Amino acid sequence: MGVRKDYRGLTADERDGFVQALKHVKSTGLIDRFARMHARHFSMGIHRSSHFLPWHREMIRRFEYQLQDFRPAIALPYWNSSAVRSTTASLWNNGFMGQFNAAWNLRRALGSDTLPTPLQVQTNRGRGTYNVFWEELERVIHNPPHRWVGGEMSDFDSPHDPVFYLHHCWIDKLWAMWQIENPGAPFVSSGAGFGLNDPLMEWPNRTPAAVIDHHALGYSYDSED
Amino acid sequence: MEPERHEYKGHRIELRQREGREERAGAAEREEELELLIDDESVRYSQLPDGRYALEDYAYDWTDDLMDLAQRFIDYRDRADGIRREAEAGEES
Repeated sequence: MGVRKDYRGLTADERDGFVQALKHVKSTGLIDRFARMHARHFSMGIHRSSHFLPWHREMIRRFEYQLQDFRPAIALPYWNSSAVRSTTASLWNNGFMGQFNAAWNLRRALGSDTLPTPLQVQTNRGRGTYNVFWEELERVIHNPPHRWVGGEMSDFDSPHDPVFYLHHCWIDKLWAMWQIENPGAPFVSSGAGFGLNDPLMEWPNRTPAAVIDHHALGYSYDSED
Repeated sequence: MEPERHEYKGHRIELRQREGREERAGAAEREEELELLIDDESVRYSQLPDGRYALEDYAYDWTDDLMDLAQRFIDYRDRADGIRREAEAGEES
């Protein structure tokens, strides 16, 4: 089982391998295809619905599979933006995510907005029902880092910026931790077509039920408590 | 939402009927057919499942008032442009 780690915990080899894999999937066109797909479905229920979390879990898992085709040992790293808040953090070094800004014309403007606070994350973690949890997680914790990074990351096609995957890996981790803390909490649909067994946009044979257990998808996080 | 026009911090924000579709009269249709312009440049937007608006280039701030969203976008864009200018100046010095 792959273990997704805080990017700060990557070894130099893991960090370099991840960067090389990103360059590879850029060269194959995968980065741009995923960005276009995200833009195409942006307003079709992958945001502002109960499918927000399962859809992005499926998306980043598929992306991770593609990275693993290039380097099997890779697991997506995550960026906890409530803890790593500086524009000069190692995340943005030219040896890591920083190099992609100019190379891929991402037009980042780091610091254009505020980042979520640890208190907001803690408060959200304490929500007892899925419908309250996902709505707040998306709006209060997921949205601000998109705006804080700016450029491509603040657009419909935000997966053009590879930091999208580190950000959504953290969002997925927060969901996974909440699921572990609330094992009996049912999936609550936000409306017609957004239920537990309704198909996810783009992948009609996949449903939230198919991705509800992240361990069953073959990965875990470095800390899940 | 109806066609309207405002000035905001030196920028012109306009919601107007899309050209060539005036013959379609239903209220719901009219709402979908409004074009958002900032300083005469068209700004693409769409509606999320709950009816809130999102702008293509400012996608992660949502409100049910398109004019308000346009103002927020102007403020955001000004901040981001300022940050990019500072970064470029820092690289040159």
